[in-house]
Amino acid sequence: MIANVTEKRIASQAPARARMSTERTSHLLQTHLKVPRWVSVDRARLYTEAFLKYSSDPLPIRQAKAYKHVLENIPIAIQPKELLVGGLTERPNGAILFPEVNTTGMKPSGKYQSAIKKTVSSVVNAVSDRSPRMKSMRPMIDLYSEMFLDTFESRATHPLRIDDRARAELSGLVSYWKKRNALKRYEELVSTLPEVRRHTSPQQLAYAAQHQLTMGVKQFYADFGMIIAKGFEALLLEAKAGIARGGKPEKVRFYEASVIALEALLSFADRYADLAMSMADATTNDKERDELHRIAEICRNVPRQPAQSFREAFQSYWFAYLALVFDDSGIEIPFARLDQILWPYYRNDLAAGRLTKGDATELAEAFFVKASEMEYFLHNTAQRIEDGNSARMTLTLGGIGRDGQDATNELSFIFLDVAGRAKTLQPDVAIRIHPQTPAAFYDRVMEVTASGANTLQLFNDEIVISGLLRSMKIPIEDVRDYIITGCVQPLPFATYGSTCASHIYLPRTLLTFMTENKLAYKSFSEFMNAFEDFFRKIIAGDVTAIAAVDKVHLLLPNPLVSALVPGPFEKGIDVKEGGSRYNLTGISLSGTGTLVDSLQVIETLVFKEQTHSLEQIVKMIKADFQGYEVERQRILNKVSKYGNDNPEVDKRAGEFTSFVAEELEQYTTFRGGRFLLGTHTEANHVLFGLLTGATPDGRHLGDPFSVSTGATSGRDRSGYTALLNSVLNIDFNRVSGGSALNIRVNPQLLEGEGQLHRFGDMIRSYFKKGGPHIQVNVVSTETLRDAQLHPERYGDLLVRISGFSARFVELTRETQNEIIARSEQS
Amino acid sequence: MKMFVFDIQRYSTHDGPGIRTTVFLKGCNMRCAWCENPESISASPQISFAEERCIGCRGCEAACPFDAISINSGYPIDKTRCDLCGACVSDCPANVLNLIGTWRDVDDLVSELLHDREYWSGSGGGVTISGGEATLQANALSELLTKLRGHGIHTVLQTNGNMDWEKLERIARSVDLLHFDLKGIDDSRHRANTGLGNECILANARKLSEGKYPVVFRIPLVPGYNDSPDDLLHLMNFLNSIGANSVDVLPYHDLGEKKLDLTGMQGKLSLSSMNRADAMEKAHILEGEGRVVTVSGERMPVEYNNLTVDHEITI
Repeated sequence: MIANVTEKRIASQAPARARMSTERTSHLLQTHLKVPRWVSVDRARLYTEAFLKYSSDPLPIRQAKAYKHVLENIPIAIQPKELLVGGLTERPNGAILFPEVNTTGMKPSGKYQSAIKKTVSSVVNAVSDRSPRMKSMRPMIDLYSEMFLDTFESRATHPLRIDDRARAELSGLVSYWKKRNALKRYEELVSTLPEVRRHTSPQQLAYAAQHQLTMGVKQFYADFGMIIAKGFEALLLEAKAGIARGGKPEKVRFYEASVIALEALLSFADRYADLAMSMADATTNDKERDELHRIAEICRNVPRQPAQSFREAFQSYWFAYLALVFDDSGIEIPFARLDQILWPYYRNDLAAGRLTKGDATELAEAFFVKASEMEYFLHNTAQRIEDGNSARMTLTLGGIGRDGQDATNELSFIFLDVAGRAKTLQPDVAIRIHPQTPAAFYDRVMEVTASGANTLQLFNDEIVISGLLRSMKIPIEDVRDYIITGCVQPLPFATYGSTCASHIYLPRTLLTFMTENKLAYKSFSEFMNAFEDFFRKIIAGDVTAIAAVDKVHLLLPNPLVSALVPGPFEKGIDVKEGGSRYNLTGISLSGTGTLVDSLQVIETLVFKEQTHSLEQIVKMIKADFQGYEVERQRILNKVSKYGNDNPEVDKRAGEFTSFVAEELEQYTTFRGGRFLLGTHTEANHVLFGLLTGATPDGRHLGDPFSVSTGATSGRDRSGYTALLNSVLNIDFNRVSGGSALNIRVNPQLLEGEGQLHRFGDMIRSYFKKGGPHIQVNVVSTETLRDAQLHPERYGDLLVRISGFSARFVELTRETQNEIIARSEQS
Repeated sequence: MKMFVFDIQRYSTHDGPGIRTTVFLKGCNMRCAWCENPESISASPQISFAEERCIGCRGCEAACPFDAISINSGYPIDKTRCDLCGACVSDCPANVLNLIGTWRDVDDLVSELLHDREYWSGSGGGVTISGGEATLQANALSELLTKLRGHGIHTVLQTNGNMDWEKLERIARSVDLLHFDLKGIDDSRHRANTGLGNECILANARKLSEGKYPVVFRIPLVPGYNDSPDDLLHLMNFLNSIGANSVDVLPYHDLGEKKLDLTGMQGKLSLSSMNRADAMEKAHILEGEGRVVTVSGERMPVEYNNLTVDHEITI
């Protein structure tokens, strides 16, 4: 009987079909969904050819010429029925490669790939059958085997295809770049800095280098509105004027490189116009011919000239966006405030009767498909961290404008509406909420959330703005115009990131501290002081490591990004050299809840109740609590945990994060900006949990850390409001670099009269109390379990991880299990 | 002053308007056969045992000074020996054994409750006091209500209504809304089902209604006990006669059965939970002019017309 009811409910929640408003966009979506993800070697080949050919040119010129070669020769295509044109590869879902940045994991499968893997796994199986110790280490061993034995083709999660010709070519390119890529340079640099090596290698305590040398700097604020209004030709003239002005040779070279790169981008757009014309000539279908002529006309005008219509503005925006990706190599360059950027064009066209709301909706849908067709290459470990979603390109909607007034408009509604129906992987949608947010908009946000579309994250304008103002001390108008980047990191106008340069793994730092130090402390405060001293060194090491990364990035100048982010063009200085108007670097703490719980256990058992010594605790965690189950249960159940509105425990989260934020205030970034502290974890709380031994809070070896700003899964047992109150112990005016809080909601909780309103009211109250962010996972545990058993039935099931969404069935088993375990508080 | 509390639920969304915190007081003067919180009936503490989580460390056996506990299978405590000292509970590492019922100082309680005041004020919610029968702790209750009111907090009191009118009136004046249970009209069946007759309850219901006190009459519907067409018609007639304008139907849920096991209590009904559609069908019988009838606090769809012919004829 019960089984029957469950089955029925699952059937009624069976994946809703992705819905588009027109036959055209449904078709575009189907095309996207049909093509397997793949790797294109064209960009890497073209870049390398030019890089070798122009070896005698100075750096920025050499880089610009290499881009020119890429943009003039990379294969392009226009898909049937497309409205917006332009992509990174000629077919959808292709990833381009940047071997000059990093070749890790780029090597395709060799002849003996599967044989080696088979041999290793049979050895591991044989050994782990015999030893229980090996058995408990199995998930870790499997992870290492995936990291080192699998390729991007053979890995279980998010594999990418490659054809035989490209595979052969790629092997050659990888051998060429293996020794000379930017990451290699970084490793050479830090080999002279032992403090950095000790504290910040990925297997250690913080994760710095890989991020920006795998995924680009990626988080910066391009002024799309300016480029749509002015057109690239105007910028070209400015660059030429810069050359004419003369001055320091570096400046002249900067503008010379800009001219080459901007011209290359314009010829890239021209190639689309030419292609559309030749396709029009070839077709016998009148309607198709008209559409292609229209595309040609648009691509002749934009991004060269100021956009004349909503559609031109959208196309101009899209070319500008592609320029950023080709230049930065970044996987999560923000889509920014598209509702604000396109608003003047929408309003004019609507008033002139040139556009209907339906037309705009269709274009928005086409954009969602285009965004999802951008595939990014990530090596196995990075793929694990991003789990299931190789890019998080965030679209920011709503919020206040530069004047401080509510800026929500009809386009905000249109994009929100598409986000609620389309169920595409991209873009990631961030909603800005403030006290004047129109009730109709907020209600719609809650409805989309409840529907399980699962792509919305909500931000509180008031605290985000006051936090950024306090940390950055820049004009309020630019702060009010902030966008969301990466997972949850806010970025003021005209600012160059990275907002997520490093993660510091708090549970690992605590373990290292406890196992490598003599533990003779008379009081808990002595213990804490010593730990904070130790932690200061980690921060210093991390800051040095990030500076080393930034220094290596000077080898990769960005003429196109520098044209679009305000600052460099006025100063004649590349973004990588600090040319942007504002700079910031974000560092995030991972496992805050795990640290807080562990400290609570140490204080309670060692110093208050004095039932254990620190040595005994170290002994228990070294044994992974084998033989100490009674103690572990006592630790789990008798000592209060973060997330239950117990101020005595929770205040520690506030104290420790404020300590780190203050410590960071003394440093300046390589590019002359501020360091901002965040508390978000992506999926690294799962990955690094897997690699981290047991912790004093009773967490076993391999179990996930606490997620982002929240509690360890399942430990927040006192209801939503208790969790929210716990989180509010953190001072988000200081911890202003982005803090994610995920809560999961059983859909039944939101059914019934007034329930959704109550839930919405709770979030608004949380914001009023100073919470910066919340995202809601609306899923039932039965649904998720069923999805594990029958992945084929749940291809469109999106879940939030930590500031982003991913397809549940594409996640690793561990992440899936972790999502299921995350407490349901209904 | 102290009050005897057995649970506090935050983000409670079905016990009155908005987001609420519900405080459950222990001790009741009725013995409803279907009670969903059987652990709330006794006015003394109880020890619950969650067998499936037991790790078998047997620490509780060693800790008990009275040899009253032995882990084999089923509820492990010999209640004739146990004096509720709680030694086993403090010793149990996995929180398998738990003490139900703690004496809470009203001031402490209020300051703990107030942690959620922004969520209440942001949603038009507040605090609901439930039981057991909360009015049995009249003095402490009055202090709690006064203090909450002093903070401007909206309060709801849930009661079985079995008390002097003077007492009830006093309480009714000190809360914003009463949830008043009606468990049946027939006096002898009421006595059989709950251990008490209903004369006083019905009289109080009438006075509350006539006095225009804000009240929701809540009717637990229990299959076979008070949900026959006759039962419902009598209820409807009574509601009409007192001019009740707000009624909430609470369909039976078998949640209480599991709690009987946890606390080593007897008296399972072995009834399965009533589904919402059944409850709505029955709730429609209770509708009347100017009366809002809800099921578990939610309005029924207006277009609902699944009444059987039988009912129409009887009506």
